[in-house]
Amino acid sequence: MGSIIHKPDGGKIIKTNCFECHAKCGALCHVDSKGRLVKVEGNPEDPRNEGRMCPKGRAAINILYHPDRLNYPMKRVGARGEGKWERITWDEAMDTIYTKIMEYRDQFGPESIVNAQGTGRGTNQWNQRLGNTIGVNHWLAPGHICLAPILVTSLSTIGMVTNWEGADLDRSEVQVFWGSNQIWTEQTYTSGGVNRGRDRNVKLIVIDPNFEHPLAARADHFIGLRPGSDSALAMAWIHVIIEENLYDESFCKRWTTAPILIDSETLNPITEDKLKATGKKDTLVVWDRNTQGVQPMDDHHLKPELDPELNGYFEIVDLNGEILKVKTAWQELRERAAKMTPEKAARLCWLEPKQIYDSARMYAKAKSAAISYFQGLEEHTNSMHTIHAVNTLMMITGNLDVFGGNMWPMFWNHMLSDRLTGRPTDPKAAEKKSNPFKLYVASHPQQVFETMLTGKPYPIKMYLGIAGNPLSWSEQPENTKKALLNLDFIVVMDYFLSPTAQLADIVLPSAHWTERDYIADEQCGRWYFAQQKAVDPLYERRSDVTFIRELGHKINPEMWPWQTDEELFDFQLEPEGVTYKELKDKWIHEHTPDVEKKYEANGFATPTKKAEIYSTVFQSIGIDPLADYEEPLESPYSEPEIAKDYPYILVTGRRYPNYYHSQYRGIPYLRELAPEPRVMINEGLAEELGIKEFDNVWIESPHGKCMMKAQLTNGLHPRVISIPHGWWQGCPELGLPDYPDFIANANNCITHKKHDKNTGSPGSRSSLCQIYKA
Amino acid sequence: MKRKIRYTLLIDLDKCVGCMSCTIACKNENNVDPGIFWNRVYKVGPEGQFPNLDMFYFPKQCMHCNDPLCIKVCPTKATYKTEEGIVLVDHDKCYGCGYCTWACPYGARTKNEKKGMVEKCILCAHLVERGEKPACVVSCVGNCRVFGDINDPTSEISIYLAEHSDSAFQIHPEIGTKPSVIYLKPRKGAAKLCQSNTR
Ligand code: SF4
Ligand code: SF4
Ligand code: SF4
Repeated sequence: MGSIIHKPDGGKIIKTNCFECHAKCGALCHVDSKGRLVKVEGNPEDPRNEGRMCPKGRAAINILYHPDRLNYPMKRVGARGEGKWERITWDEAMDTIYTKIMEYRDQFGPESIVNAQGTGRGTNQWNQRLGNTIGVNHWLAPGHICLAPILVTSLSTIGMVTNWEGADLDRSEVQVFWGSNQIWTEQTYTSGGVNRGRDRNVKLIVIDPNFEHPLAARADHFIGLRPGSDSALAMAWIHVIIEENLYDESFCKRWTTAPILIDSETLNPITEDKLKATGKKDTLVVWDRNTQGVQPMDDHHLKPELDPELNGYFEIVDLNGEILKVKTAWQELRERAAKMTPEKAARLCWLEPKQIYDSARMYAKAKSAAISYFQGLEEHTNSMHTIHAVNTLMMITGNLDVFGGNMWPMFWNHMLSDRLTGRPTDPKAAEKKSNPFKLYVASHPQQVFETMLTGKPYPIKMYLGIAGNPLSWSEQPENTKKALLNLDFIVVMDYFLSPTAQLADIVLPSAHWTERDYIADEQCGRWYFAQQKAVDPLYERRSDVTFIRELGHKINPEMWPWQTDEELFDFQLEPEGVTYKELKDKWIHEHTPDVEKKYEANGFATPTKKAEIYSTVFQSIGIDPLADYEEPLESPYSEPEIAKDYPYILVTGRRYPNYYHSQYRGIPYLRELAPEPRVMINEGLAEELGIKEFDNVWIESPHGKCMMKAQLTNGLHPRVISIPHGWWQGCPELGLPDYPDFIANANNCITHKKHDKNTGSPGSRSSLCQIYKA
Repeated sequence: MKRKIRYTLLIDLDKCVGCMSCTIACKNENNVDPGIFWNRVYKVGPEGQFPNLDMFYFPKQCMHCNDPLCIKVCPTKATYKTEEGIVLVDHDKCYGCGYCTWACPYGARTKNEKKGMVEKCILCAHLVERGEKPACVVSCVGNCRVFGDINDPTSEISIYLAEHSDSAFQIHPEIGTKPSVIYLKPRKGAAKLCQSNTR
């Protein structure tokens, strides 16, 4: 039967996957006998969404046929941004783009061309391969506010990305939503576990500043903490768990780096070569209770005779007979946690100590507990410590890669492999990526914009953006606009003429997911799906993958030998032993079996093969190796002077179930559900400030301001303000406005100068602000 | 004798997450004009003082009453009830006088000024006829919508209702319209807010 079901009336149903968010629900596309898409619904055969579908997916038809979609390649004929366009052929577009790339590369080097994208969600590997083909993979993307802080922190310390689909909600006794509202944003793999969890009377903890989180009212504990104080809360949970002996001692001893001995002063790890001549340089040591002496730490080949001590200080003798004062990594963690009493954390987080004790106990005492966390932890200037602290909670409670805990979805370990992203042809040139952050993956966006503006350390000439809109997502968007306007040549490929596309010299029309062939891979758990087209591309729209592949082929046919997208997909699927055609036939392909404790076979994917409570990777590059409390760079405690004038904490990017980032304000069915950007403000505070429902108000930080309509709520702390992002598009059908010139852009308020010193994440969810009637 | 079918919709408020997928599924299934809603999801709350709050979502649509007031007032008999208990408007007969929009105690009906007639949820009769479920039920992210024949004790909806009969309620039962939409109270919170409606 295959994955296309033919109906007697000449119509057909195509099994495919939605692309309106990252999670890619299985979908059924109904096409009538005239080839028109008439209905999109969830596919009950997808083990994740089981037929459910969110409003964005259900609106796919409205997006496919929307009259404002880009349909043809166009080139700019007026001044930049003037809005005068002339239709051109794809051949002309491709030739021009190729010629420009080659010219700039010859004259100014490959670093002068910036490959860019938005959320990626399926093209990350190909965009990066294009960057590597050009020579410098800038990969300009909003990674610093999404994905990268979690991806890099987690892969470096536990060797897996364990949030998102990793949170095994369906089998957990306790579900924790920590800065994550995935029942709205990625319901695909969240809703089943949550819904059945309600039936199972699962315990629910929601940690979020906003009570209007759709699960908050159902939660056993709603922890409405101060935005950005999550690391304090996590350390206080660790405090309770260690003090009350609620940790999984055996897992900590056997499967984590907790027992390793470290220098009491420098916290550097003691390696075996320091202790004996035959010792190995990269072998870490533990204090063995059985032999009452120092022993090399085992790896995944656990030595039953070894009984590593978790606690304590020791004096050991080194190679030269000198005495080394050492302690266990666990001891250091314990001391850090000891400082963060629940009472102290309550003061920092604006909570009651009892909430912290009770919720920590609920999490730790459960046989299994899963934490769904996401951008609520990433978009702060302290994201590395926060994420590592939450991962540490999973480690010390043994909730890592177990059923009902946080599992190991293996795809993330492969997504950015060299095999797919391609090695740079000239490794020396490739180093010209501009990135001052040790834990950022590519060129940091703000560094690139700075380079565009100043021409230092090298000139940037060209921006090639595929499905991305930095004038919406970047901090200080006006600065970004200036940076882009400084360039000689801008290409943007998208569904709509976004603010970024309006600046382009060439715009290219992207095909919608219902009109293009892809592989659904990222955030798809244990499966690959054939995300196949339901209809042929309308007008001259083209798949982003087709464009990237053909451009790559022109520049370097060796790196892009494939003549069709299908051949490219065959290459991606090769290790799976299926072809794209075979995948299309069966639609769903399981690449990882449903097993827990995968680490027992080969250990964790870290240098020590352990889950690194003490991160050897961080230590080796000069980053604090253990979890700790860290205050955001701009908070009432770190900047009390600024807080005098800007007394409230601003959370940007609150979510809607019906929009994805800056997409779809132009779709009438979606727009009428949330017609305008609104700032959420506590009722009492609004009264104090003389602000009434629907008043226009300015939200102002030391870095800029934006205007939105007031929405009064009891759901926020009186000192917290919450605003949405992504408002630019108008909806002429409903007579609803667009928001030109950044007037409603949340990012005006966020500085582009302060970032987490390691991950490069800005304070999008914890900046200081003021609010007043316009 | 063949048992009479009575199609019923159950909405478990404990599980509704306010995602509005039901609204969009409905609009696309039935091509409902912008500005008109056959179903909507209301947010009730948050009530109280931060952080001691209460909130729930309340999806609402035509109740497909067994004894509907809209039928009684319709001068052209455009509104009628099917054998299986679905209340429909015959658009050949409806001329948009709008009496029914006033009579319906649930505000389920909207006059489409452009088309000059009254519209509302049709319980996806065209799908139900084919043995499928209504679009909003299929799409529901919270799995809180259960549909089926309440007269069949083995149906999913009968079983679900039996398991949760304690928390079941209907809106304004005192009017005597005998709605075919049954709600379940959230298991936590919202108790006070629902009290007045408990049957
Ligand atoms: S949850 Fe994501 S994948 Fe599923 S329907 Fe919505 S947008 Fe599409
Ligand atoms: S039953 Fe059908 S017509 Fe009624 S609200 Fe649901 S989707 Fe709309
Ligand atoms: S689809 Fe379901 S969960 Fe979502 S708002 Fe509607 S009834 Fe509630």
